[in-house]
Amino acid sequence: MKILSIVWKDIRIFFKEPGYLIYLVVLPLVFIQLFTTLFSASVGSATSSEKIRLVVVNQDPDGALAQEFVRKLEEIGTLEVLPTTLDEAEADYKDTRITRYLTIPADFTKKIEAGQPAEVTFKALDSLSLTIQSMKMIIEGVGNSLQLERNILDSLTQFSEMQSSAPAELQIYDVDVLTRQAQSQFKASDERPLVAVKLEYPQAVTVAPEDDFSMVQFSVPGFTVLFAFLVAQASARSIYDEKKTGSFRRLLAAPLSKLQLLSGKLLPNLFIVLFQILIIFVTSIILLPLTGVGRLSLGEHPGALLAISFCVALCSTSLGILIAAIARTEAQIGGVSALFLWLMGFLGGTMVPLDIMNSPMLTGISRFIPHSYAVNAYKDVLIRGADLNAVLPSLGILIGFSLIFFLIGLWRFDFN
Amino acid sequence: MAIVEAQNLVKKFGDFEAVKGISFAVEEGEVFGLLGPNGAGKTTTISMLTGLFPPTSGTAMINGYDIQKDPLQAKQICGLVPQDLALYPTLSARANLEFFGRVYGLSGKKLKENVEDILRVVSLTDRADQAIEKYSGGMKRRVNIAAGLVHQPRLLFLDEPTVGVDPQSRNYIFESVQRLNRERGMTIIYTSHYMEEVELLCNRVAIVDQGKLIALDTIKNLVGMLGGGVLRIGLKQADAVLLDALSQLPAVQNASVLQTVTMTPPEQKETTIQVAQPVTVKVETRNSQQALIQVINYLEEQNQTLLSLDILENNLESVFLHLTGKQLRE
Repeated sequence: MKILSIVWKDIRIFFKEPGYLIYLVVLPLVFIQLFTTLFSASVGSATSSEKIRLVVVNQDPDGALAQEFVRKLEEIGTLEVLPTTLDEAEADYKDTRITRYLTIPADFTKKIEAGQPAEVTFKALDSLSLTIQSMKMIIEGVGNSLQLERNILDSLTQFSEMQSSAPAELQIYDVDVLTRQAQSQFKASDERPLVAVKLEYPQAVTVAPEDDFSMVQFSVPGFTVLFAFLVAQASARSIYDEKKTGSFRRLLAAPLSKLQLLSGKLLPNLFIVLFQILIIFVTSIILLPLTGVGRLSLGEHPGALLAISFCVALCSTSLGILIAAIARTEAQIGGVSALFLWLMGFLGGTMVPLDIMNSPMLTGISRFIPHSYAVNAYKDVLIRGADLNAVLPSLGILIGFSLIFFLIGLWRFDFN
Repeated sequence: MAIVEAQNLVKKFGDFEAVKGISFAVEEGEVFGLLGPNGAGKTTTISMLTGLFPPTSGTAMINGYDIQKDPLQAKQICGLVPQDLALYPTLSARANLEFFGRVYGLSGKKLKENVEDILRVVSLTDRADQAIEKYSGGMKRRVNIAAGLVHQPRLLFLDEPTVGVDPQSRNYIFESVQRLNRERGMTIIYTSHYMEEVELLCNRVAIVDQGKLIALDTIKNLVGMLGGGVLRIGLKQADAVLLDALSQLPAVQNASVLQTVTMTPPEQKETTIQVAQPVTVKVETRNSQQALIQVINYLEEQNQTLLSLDILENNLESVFLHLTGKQLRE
């Protein structure tokens, strides 16, 4: 009750500060609009929320797994699969009537059934465009799910056969054993993909305009994460303001434990971030299309988006307490926020996708930055159609960052 | 039973010892003054008593609860009115008071009743729903006090509540303190460096200086400690014979040439003694009225011309001067 009264008070104060609302809610939308418009122009393509056309040459038309692969590509919902023959595809590609096509080899089903890696070839004229990168991600995602499904089915079949033929004393495949095996297959599918995607592209070409991914799918996750973490600055500022005016002193004199007080100061941040993300997403679905930059598609797993948003809010909140603990003056809060939050945002790929920068160093650095996991998790769900299970590792890492930030912040926090 | 018991409280900030072993007890229903110059350790003492930070050593008991061991129980009966306007300016007075009521565990009907009651007490019912950033300084000050009272504490800490306050608001604060103590039996610990306020409001006073408690008693006893007041007489000249003779008068305790003391920062401490013509003689008396008659009679007998005369009744200022050798407002 006491915690909630602090939370409610801080939320009321937040909504009475137009500056915060502009900074944390309106500004990201402006960034998304600008980024989407500018980036779309730079890659020379129109933005659209329609499905992306993918010409597919299936050289294994009778293979069950090749058929399943194509069906799964269609089920993702973001691609419109256009079957064709290899000759037609090559001719169209040569004349740049199409700028990309996917070839499934004749031995696709056979190889996977034999447990050998199969390689599909994705030819694209504009290999560095966000659309191609994301299409490649989608194809890889479908390949992984196919393989995982295959692996688990194989394992279960094997267990079932062994179990049925074994004497009673050797009936060893209980739920635990099966779970361990399934986990091992999950890991294997991630580390040793059976379906590899080979991206082929010419060295230099003039790209013909073709339908493209809405840039909104890229810019919304990035800027959502960037600005969600900027709420940490508002959280630190709120604690500083309380200390400056003396109301923090008054709260310390009240019958509240320090944990209650700190929780009450941090929870509003959590709600504000969730509110901010909700507004950004809803606006990106309803209002952004009106400006001609395309519409955000939430994909098929909104529950996964909710889980990511919660973890992002948690991480931003914990970062808020860390900033409040290490920055003791208004100038320090501004400085630390500018340095860390914006820099982390950039290095975490919130402004420009790390795939595009193609820098091993930046990719290496991004592994130590929570933003990158948050952005990737959002993109996995929004672009690759990943579900909650697929983004659990990223969420785990975000929770880990949250815990580290919170514990260091708590250790360094000066209640006096 | 004492509602506050401070036992040998010490607070160190690094090498600096802000409070050096202060002990006192406050009885329920008292208005207790904590008097001392800026930097004496008053706010640090209050902070330890209200549980804002722990003492380096010593104990503080509030209503029988150790503020360190049972902080929630001890804090429940306390209200704090800090020197600063510790409020949320974008929220209304009512929202501020409701918030502070809730953090003390009030809710529902009781919370509403208390808020309305305290808004009436501070005469802000009509403007209760306006953001306090639009209030005048005096009105903000009233809300600041109300926020410490909304949960109807038995013990109220007022930390220099009149600093930077206009005379009208100051009078309002005095009236509030007296009314709360008289009508609600509230125990009040009032810190100030204004001796007039403490003299006006408090039953007993603890005088602190440089982190130490240097006197603790009723105002009457503290002032009485100095005798019957001081006469300052201007003479053309004064020698040892004259001073000795004045000191022998029945109503006089002591006579001396007044030293002009210039207080300077500790690092440049020096005392300038000026003995020049004409001279001012300080006569400490047992009874100022009787001493005045005896001194004038003696000077007439000695054909001394009286150049000036001041009759100074003793007060806390002179007590502080007597105890520390310096003025309170330096």
